Amino acid sequence: MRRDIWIFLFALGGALFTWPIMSIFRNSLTWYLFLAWLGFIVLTFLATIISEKEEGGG
Amino acid sequence: MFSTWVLLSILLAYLVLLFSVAYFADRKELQGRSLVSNPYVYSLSLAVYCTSWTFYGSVGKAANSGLSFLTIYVGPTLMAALWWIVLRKIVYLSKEHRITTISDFIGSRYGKSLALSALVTLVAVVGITPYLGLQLKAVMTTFSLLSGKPEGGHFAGWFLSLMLGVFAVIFGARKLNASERHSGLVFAVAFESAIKLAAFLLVGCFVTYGLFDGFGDILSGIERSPYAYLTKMGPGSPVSFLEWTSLTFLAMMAILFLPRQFHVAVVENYSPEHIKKAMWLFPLYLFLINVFVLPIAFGGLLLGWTQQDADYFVLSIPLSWGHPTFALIAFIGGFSAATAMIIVESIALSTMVMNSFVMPALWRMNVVKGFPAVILNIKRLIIMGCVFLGYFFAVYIGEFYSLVDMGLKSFEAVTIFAPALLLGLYWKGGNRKGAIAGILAGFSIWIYTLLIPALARAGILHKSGFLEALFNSRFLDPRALFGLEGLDRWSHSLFWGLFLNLFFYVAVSIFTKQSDTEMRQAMIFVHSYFPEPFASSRGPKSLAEIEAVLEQYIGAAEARDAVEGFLRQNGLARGAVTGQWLARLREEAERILSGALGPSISALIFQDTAVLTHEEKARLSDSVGRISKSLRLSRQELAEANRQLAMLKEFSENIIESIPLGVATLDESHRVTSWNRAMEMITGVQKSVAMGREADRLLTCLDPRLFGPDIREGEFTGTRNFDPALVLKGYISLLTGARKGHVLVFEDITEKKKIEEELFRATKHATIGRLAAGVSHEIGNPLASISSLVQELLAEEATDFVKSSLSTVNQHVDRIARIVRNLGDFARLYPRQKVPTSLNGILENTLNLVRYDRNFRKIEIVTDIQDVPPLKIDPDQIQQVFLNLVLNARDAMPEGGRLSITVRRADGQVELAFSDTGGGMDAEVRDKVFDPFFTTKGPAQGTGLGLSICYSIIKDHGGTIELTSEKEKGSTFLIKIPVRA
Repeated sequence: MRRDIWIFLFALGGALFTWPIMSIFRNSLTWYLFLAWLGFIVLTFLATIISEKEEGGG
Repeated sequence: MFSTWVLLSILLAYLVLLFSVAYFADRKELQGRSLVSNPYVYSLSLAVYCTSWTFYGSVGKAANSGLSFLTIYVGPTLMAALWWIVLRKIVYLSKEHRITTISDFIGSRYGKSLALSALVTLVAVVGITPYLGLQLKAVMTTFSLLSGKPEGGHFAGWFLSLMLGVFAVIFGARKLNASERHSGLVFAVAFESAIKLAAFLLVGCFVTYGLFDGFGDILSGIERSPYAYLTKMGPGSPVSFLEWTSLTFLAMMAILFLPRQFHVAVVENYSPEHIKKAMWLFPLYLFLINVFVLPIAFGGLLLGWTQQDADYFVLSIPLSWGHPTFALIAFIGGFSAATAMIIVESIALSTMVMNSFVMPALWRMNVVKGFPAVILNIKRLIIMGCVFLGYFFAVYIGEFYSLVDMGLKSFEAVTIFAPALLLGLYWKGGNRKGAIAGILAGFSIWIYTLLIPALARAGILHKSGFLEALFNSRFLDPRALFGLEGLDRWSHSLFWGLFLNLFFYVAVSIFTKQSDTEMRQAMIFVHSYFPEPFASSRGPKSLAEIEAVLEQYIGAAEARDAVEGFLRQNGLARGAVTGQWLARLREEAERILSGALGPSISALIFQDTAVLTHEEKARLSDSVGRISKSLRLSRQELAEANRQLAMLKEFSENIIESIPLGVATLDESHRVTSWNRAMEMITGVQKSVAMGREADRLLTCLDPRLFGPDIREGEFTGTRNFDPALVLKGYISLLTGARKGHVLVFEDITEKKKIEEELFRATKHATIGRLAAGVSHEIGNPLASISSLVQELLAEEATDFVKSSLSTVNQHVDRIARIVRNLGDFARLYPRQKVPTSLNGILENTLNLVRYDRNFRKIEIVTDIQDVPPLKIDPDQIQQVFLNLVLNARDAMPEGGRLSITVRRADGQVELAFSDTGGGMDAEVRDKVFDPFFTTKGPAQGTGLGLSICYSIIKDHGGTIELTSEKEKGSTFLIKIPVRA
């Protein structure tokens, strides 16, 4: 599996959990943070599935 | 409230359960049925990260600072995304070198430096002790809360410290070899993670749904309360975005560099594959354990508690609402969180202290050899010492600090390791001096900007004299160093610590030289490159000598097992180990000792056994120098060759991309590995779609049997992915060399094929035309005479029989004359004049001719005629064409149907389409339909010249006539005449 997907995921997480994106949701920050967090976990899960498939398929 | 003895009994029962769980897992491991060798237990063991800080401190932080508590969990979630790159590498290197602590890892990277390892240990012990104290403080405070007796907490703390120390000794220091996994310990930690999660969720549900109407109720309640600011961030809230980012970064570093995290994630890792599942399971655990933090924190505030009490809302809310059972569950959850951390952290710290301080000291005193049991007992004492150090911190200093405060100081402390460890994994240039300078700078900043102000705030240091001057100084104020104001204390300390740490690390590394050992270790850590061990001319004396060295430090049985294991693994006999294998065995022995004593001491021990003479060392040094020089030259040559290769690759790729032939390569399983631009155009399949797919699925024209060992050449027509009429000429050949497979070269020959067919047809028409002209001329004249004579004879008196016969002759003569006329038309014997004429007018006249024909009664004629400009044409000939096509359509639909005629202008041409719904034609008929004398009708019904004449006439007008037809689907004749014809 290419390293790119993990770096992309990390960069995406970095963007999601810092200013200025967080400031966009200032009025519903609590909901945003928990939903974005859960979404990020789901993305990581999907990335591991893809990675395992790729490595399994050679 | 619970009595002290009841609480102590419950805790004792819990510890007995924990002992049983660990013992059970250890037994299973011995039976070869490991309970911990799976990613789920691994992920749960990583949750040792969630300590009593998570259990109590997060609620306190949420009630005081709002959402910023999440940073401690979001940080590790983000870092987990990089684990497959970073953590996997650390695990790999640690396993390969039997590294058991973060201090040994850093020391090993920089030439197995003992000084660096000791420095890291010092920072860790100073930085982590408050964190250990935090756990015991939480246990003692909650014990006091539940028992209602403040003095009971200290006794419980002392008692529990003893019990936890014993647990850590039994399950974490049974053997000297620290690189050995501790299944019982790991399983117990995973068990505790499950307990604390379940406990927190239960209490969270009780508060959220028992005392309130769910999340929405609590959040809307807090929005209406004076605490509404807690749900905000940035200006007007207690947390700035900068502080959020700093705390997230600290947590990201903590998950990698806290000694206990290094222990469970690296030392206790069974398989790097487990990391992948932990990358989402561990963040999911963090998410779940935090779901109810805000409801409990905000719920407590809404129920009337103050923010100062918030650290223990988890206990106090159920207690005050008359649910002591929930309070007890919370207490057990908090206790399990604290105990897991204390046990693992004390083992990790004790190993660091052993390897970095105790072992070197014992070794220098020459008392290490022959006393493995003594060494083990010293390690056990250090474990107890670490636990009790935490206890004393909690009792005497802990009262001045909040849980979060102590935890974050530890996070800041371990972040000091980040530059040396992370950059050391990817930058070969970093050296020991740079790492020491960076860590010293970072540690100094940590002490100056965090520890001193904290001690001063607690009153342990008095702000007077020199300290007062410092605090009042504009540039040296520890809270605003060098005049940097406006930052929260965590961001302030992080900024200066990281900045100076990085600066010194990089600058010193650049301006100082690496030793040979450092260079070797840098190669190993950065490139995961393992050079062959050096075999001296004399070499290790014997296998027995290596075994004897091992025996002195780890015991006779273990030494024998290790050597036998090496021999078995490499298929060697005891008496036949010489040369390179001895060197390898020595390296293996060094690794084994590294697990027991640390890499620095193990390296020293083998240096001490001196297998090289001074002369050999000199020769070795000289040899290394020459090799280095040669390597430098080779590197330059390699770089040049690499550049040339890259240029060549680019050049050939450009050629392949720009040629008009479709080129693709397939691997051995016929999957596409390259696909050029022309291939995209020819096949209509994009490269992104084609790559990795099987060729026979993309190009249905290809027969898998084509991919044999012989080169095959042939023409293929596609039927699935692109225009079925497309004619491709393909060449398939076998790829030879390292990459096996096939190369396909395709050429689109559709146009070429069309032109060839046109040429063939035109030649055929010309030949037949010449023949027809001759026949028409030679037969036409005598036939005219015969016809005149027959007419005259018919006018004469004759018998009925003669008249009837003459009439029959006349009919046949007429028929022959018609054929001859047609032949003449086909041969275009009579040049016609082309005049500007309305095509639509001709079409209308033609349709008027047939409209009232009884044979057309069952045929519906539908027209869609656009205005088109007059064309320079021969109106009679064009009418003949139209008539022919209309009559052909009629013949094709004997049972009736629809004839659609469209006229439109497109691209400088007038297009006329005659479409019928008749029986259509198969490919064989379709190909011959314009051939002279070809007819599907009987001999009496047609000459087979109609469509040939149409073809000739349209060609004569510079146009084209095409037929599309399928059996049972009707036919369409499409005529195109240029406007300027």
